[in-house]
Amino acid sequence: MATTTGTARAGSDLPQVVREPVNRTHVALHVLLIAGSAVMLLPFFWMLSTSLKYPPEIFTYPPTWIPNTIAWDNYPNALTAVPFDRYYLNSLIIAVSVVFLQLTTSSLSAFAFARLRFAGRDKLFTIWLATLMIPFPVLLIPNFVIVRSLGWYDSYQALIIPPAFSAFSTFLLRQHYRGIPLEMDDAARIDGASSFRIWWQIMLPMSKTTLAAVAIFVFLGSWNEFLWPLVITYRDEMRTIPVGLSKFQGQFNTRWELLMAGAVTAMLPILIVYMMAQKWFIRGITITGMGGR
Amino acid sequence: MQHKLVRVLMVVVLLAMFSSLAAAQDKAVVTWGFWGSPEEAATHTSVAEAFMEANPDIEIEIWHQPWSDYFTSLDTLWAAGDGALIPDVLFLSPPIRYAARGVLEELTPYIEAHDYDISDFWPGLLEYGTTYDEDGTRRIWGFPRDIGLEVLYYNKEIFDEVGVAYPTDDWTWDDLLAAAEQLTVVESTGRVSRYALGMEGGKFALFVLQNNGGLLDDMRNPTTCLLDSPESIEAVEFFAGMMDNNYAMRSANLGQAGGDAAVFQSGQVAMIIQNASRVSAFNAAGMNYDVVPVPIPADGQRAAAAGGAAWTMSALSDDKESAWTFLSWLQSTDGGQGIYTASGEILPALESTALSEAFLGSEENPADPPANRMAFIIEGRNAKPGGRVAYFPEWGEINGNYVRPVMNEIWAGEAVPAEVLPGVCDDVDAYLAEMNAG
Repeated sequence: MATTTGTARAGSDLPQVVREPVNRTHVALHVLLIAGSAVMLLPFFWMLSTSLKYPPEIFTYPPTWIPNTIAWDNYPNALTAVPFDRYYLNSLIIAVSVVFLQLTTSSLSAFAFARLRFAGRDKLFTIWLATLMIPFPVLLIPNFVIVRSLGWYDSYQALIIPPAFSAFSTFLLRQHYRGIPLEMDDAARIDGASSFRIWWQIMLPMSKTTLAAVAIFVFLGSWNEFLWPLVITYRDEMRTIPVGLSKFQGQFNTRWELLMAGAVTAMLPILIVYMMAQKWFIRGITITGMGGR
Repeated sequence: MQHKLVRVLMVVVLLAMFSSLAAAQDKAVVTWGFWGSPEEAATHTSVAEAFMEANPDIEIEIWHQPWSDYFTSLDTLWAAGDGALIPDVLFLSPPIRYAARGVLEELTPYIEAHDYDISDFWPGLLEYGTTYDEDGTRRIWGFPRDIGLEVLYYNKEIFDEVGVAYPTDDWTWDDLLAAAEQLTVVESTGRVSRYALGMEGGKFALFVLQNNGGLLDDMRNPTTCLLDSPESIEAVEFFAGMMDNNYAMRSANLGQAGGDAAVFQSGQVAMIIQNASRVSAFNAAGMNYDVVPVPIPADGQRAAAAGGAAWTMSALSDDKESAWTFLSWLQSTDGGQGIYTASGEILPALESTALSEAFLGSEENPADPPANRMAFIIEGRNAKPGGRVAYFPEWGEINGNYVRPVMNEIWAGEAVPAEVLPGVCDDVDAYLAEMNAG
């Protein structure tokens, strides 16, 4: 193409445009990235497409990407077949509370592990970190029994308090705190600041990006959590979105169109949170990649 | 004057509060656990409401879980072992597996004490919730709510379009094959745009038993595998042959295409062999269809399986008499059975309910499609215990380890029945010998 354009223009008096040679690596990289994002986006589009189809069209062969008749009523149907507004409210209350509580507990404990000196600190941290190795299903029944004995079965406490503590968040924040020069603490201590004040007035303001990244992870985790809310609640008033959505999967029939419409609706807050905090989200991924710092 | 009025009012309000508190305390509470889609849950809820209206002194508290995770939730409750949390009346399948775990209350004493009539169940159906002691003592642990027997569903529009006569109640395998040949559409590219039949491979035992073959010699105390008998092999060959000829959709394709109900609704198959659970979905989709009993070999027999998810009582229930009152009401034509049947979701476990207006409709109040509802009755009357339904807990392991993997190869067209079924039986026989020895 470039050659033909060049030849056509050769006769004119205009100075010839000299193009920078196309960087082949860049092109290849972009082709690869576009292909990658297409693979990532396909399931999303399929979900969107299925959410707008009437049941007979969902499994037709060859499959249709754009529904022949757009079934807008799947959305109101999905949202009214189950008390979706209640599920939404519950998921929001729980996710926001867990984010707030977990950031508080994790940043405090991370501060202690990173900046305070006390006997057995590193051993304690190793033990705390080792709890990450225990898969959740192993903890399910002990947690259930504890929560039940506290009288919290089928309550907000059961959904909010146990996930308010996290070794993973503590670990991320501790790594960040360790990167802040110790001179900051010393200077503050000379001025008479207590440990708590150092945490509140020095460490927290200097960790905004990391806190935001951790907050996004925690929000995502809480929003998508399935097993714990499933077993610890039973009334519809206490259910969350993922548990509510699974009701569309029956023993003999799955209402795919309603399930997908519900899933699209359930995704919106995640999408909004992601768009608002994209910068921090990507930074969060970078942090996890540098775990050993 | 005004003061006096206020005082009187206060006393009235307080009295009302106390009496309602007292009433709430007097009421027995029965927790009721079931799975189900939002539509099924709505039917369950209307059943609970009808019961509470008829029995004002018992309150039903609903414990509803999605189907896929019902058993996960329940296992957690059992593991925690807190009787107050475990529902008093539970929907379970298969009940005897849970009876073996000791989590269920035996119903036999309640049946005897309350003279509950168990003769109304379809033949053999109650066996699904029954165990026998070594001395022959019969113990009933659960009442199947419905009977999951299959009929042949056919899409009338496709039959009309091709010009094939509708199936009849006395269709044989030969009739099925002859119609299948005409109904199947293979494009020039070799792609099959319409199969005659959609049936899950896992249902193959229906054909085996119709052809006088079998899975095991005894489904309660098995000693020998029967899948290598000539009758069994012939039946498996019949089904596999339908897949090889493109008459029947291969099992894996059927699963990928969303299951038999989905392909039947989209017109990818002209017939399916399935239980009554699909009726409400087909009616909601406005399909033009009907049903007949499942075709049998010329010298074969009907082989409906007598089984269905059952109502059971928790061994840890704190009010077993109230739980029984509810459970036995659930299993009566005037109670739960009638409501479930009228909702169109089930073929009821009780023959009298199936023969009532709730299932067959009446002249003034005709039933929803399918028109030929007697097909279900024909299959129900011929239902047999055993055969396809196993009453011993190890069957799940035998089927999963030795039978299903090989059958899947057959349904994929990768194995020849006559060559592989004897090997299946060798493995099963070895397992049974070990099981019976230990």
